[in-house]
Amino acid sequence: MPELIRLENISKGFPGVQALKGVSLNLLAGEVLGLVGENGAGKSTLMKILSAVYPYGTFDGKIYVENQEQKFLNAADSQKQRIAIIHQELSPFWDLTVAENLFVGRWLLKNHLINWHEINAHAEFWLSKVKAKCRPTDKMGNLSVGTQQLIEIAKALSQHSRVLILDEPTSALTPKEVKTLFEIILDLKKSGHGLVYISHKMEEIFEITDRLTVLRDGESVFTGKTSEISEAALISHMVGRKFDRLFPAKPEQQLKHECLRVEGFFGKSASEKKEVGPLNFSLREGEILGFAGLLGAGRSEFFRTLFGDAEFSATGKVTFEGKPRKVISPRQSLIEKMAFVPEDRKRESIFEKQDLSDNLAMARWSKESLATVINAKDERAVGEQSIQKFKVKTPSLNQEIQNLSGGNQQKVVIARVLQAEPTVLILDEPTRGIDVGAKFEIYEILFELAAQGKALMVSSSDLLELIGICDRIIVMSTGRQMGIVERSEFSQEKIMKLAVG
Amino acid sequence: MAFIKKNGIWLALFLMVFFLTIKTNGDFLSARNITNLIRQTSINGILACGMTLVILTGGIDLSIGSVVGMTGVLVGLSQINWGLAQMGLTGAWMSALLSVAFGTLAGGINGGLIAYLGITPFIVTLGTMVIARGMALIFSGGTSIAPLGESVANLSMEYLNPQLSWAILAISLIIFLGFFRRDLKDKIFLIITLLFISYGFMGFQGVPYLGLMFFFTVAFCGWLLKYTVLGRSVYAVGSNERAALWAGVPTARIKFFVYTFIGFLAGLCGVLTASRINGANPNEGQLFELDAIAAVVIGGTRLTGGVGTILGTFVGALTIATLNNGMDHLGVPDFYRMVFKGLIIILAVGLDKAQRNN
Repeated sequence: MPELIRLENISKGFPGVQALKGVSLNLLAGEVLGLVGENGAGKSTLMKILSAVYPYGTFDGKIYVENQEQKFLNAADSQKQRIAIIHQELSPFWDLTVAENLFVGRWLLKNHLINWHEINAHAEFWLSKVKAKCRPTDKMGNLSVGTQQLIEIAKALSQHSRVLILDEPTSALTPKEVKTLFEIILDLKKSGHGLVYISHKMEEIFEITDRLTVLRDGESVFTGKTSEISEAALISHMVGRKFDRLFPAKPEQQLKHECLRVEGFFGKSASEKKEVGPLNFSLREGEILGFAGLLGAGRSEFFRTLFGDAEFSATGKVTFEGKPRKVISPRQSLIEKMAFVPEDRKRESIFEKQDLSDNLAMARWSKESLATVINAKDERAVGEQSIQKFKVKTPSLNQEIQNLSGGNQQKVVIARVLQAEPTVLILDEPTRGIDVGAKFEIYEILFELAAQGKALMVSSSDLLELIGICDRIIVMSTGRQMGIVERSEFSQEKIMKLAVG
Repeated sequence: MAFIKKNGIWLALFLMVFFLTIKTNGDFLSARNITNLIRQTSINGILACGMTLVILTGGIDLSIGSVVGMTGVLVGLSQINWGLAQMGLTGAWMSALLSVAFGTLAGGINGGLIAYLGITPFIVTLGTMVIARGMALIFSGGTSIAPLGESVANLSMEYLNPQLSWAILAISLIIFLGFFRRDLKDKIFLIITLLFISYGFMGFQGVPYLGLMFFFTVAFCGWLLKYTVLGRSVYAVGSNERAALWAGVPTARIKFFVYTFIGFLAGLCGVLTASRINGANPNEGQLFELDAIAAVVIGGTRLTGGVGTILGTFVGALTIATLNNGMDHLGVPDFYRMVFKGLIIILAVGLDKAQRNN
């Protein structure tokens, strides 16, 4: 197989961190190369160098495409060498049509005017290549994430890309969409494309990749055939220590008295055209209650409604600490000692440009009146404490949170809401986009909180995770509660059966 | 290099002052001119402080110029048509209160529409900008009202007497050192500037009322932003409104507050403007909002919210005033000034952006 890409001795530093230390890798035609490693290991940086987000001269080392050394100055140079990257978080033009998204910037012209007829015809062709179920004239924003992803791939193919970098492509896909994606990947392999597949999901890595390169702390620690390495060995390469289990041992839990009871609960949003409910369950102190369901099952929507998102109107009976409770606002919920960690860290949890100190203190302030004067010393002390307690890796409290890895950001967010001293803690996909090592630490934190007698509600699209950490799991489908599964009856099959309705 | 990066705007200001001082044979740095410069900075500076809060939440307020015009007319009306001018100091207070009350009301209306009805700040304040200007014309019948009572006119002309001036400067010094004792080195430009300003005040007639109000507003807003839950919440709302909501920040109340507050300041500036021209003109205050926005962005505050400081705005306002004052000295014709000012704004923000991209 001819070699498509070769990276030699790539090093790249940022102020304060050496992100890559002499990494080499190569990609052959007709193979899928898995690029794995914890967050912060340098995967994204490496791919940003290949796609020329970091241009020639800002890093050390060499890039070869089909044995020719390349000095990419901008993304267009990289594209010209037929390299395409499909980012984890897609950012298409939501309001434009599929065809417009495919051909934006390289319009097909006829007499200096845009030739819509031909554009739509071309779009049709490329969409069929990736088996995308949509029409060229559909509006991008109305399509599912899975379809959007396929369209991104179609776009790369229409630019005659030979190298496709897929960065966590399945993080928002349904199992069915993942299956379609994998079929497309196999097709691409057959036609001689080279693919770099970045993922945290072990199952997928072992299913779809041919070879693996593992990065750890900016160094390449393993490269070899996927078929010749075990999952345990791979994980230990990633985290650099012996790692035989994904979950900490679940401590025996003394469940105390009931602190939350939800009966006939509905949430309705007019503008988002969504409805969840009815939900009926009770939650005891020290319990970890899981929420399982496919994408769109309404887990997030239920959490948001219960926590007081103004977008949703809540009906039904909620009893909190023995007293009936009205859902009013997130602020009120925090004051009444219920806290929420939303799913989308970047958009809904972190204050990117603010430092850790501010990021940590925000929920504590919710108890105070707005006119309260902040005791800066006190605030720093509490901040330092949180950082130590949750083992947040950061040079100092003055660091902007955007410079931290996903796992560390999540720890900060959890530490933040804990300052409101909640009895009930709601966590929506708390380990999304976090590497194995940090996940483990988050689980330990959750167990610790449960041991302290806090009641936890946790949603996850990773069933194994829920099975590993929960006492009971509520399964939802299309907004409805399909059933509650006790720990003694946990099995993937049982939960999936309920989840698919 | 990092030093230049961090203090770019200060260096630009100092360069400008240096150039003007040479060009005017030292006149520019005379005590009289420094005092004048600060008095010229004050009204825009006060508005810019309010604008900083608004922009930090990710909003904008286009209506303040018109609100200054409208409340100024109210001062004129109350003084002359309603006879408050005859009531001396009491009358002046009543006019001022009326003006501030109406400014606050206008700001509250902006804030209510933006925070509780969710209408875009640009649209709401564009609307109230036109409405307030219209009201100014209606109230005044489209003509100027002058002169005001002496007490009002004095507000912008008077100075604290020397003893009080010294006392104020001394107290300010103590507070300043108390707050910045840990990073005095970083504040070297600010300290030099404040020394020059103190020299200007004491070498001329003392601390001008206008300057006093300006400095008080700067100090208050700086303190508010840094040391109160409200201030930190302002940053939170501008940085990530959703995250702020989940973290228990009453985002609507914060937004309501910043627009009401800038309305309050606009009402205050209505009085000050009327006092400065010793009369009320319904067309007064035009483009004030743009000068305020310019001071804020020159000072490094990000228009999308979440990033920025009052100190930055302070320098921004000084820079704009220096530019105006300098062009006075150099005799640059009016029409050309506008062109220059526009260019400087683009240049300043452009340089800032170029630096950050590096």
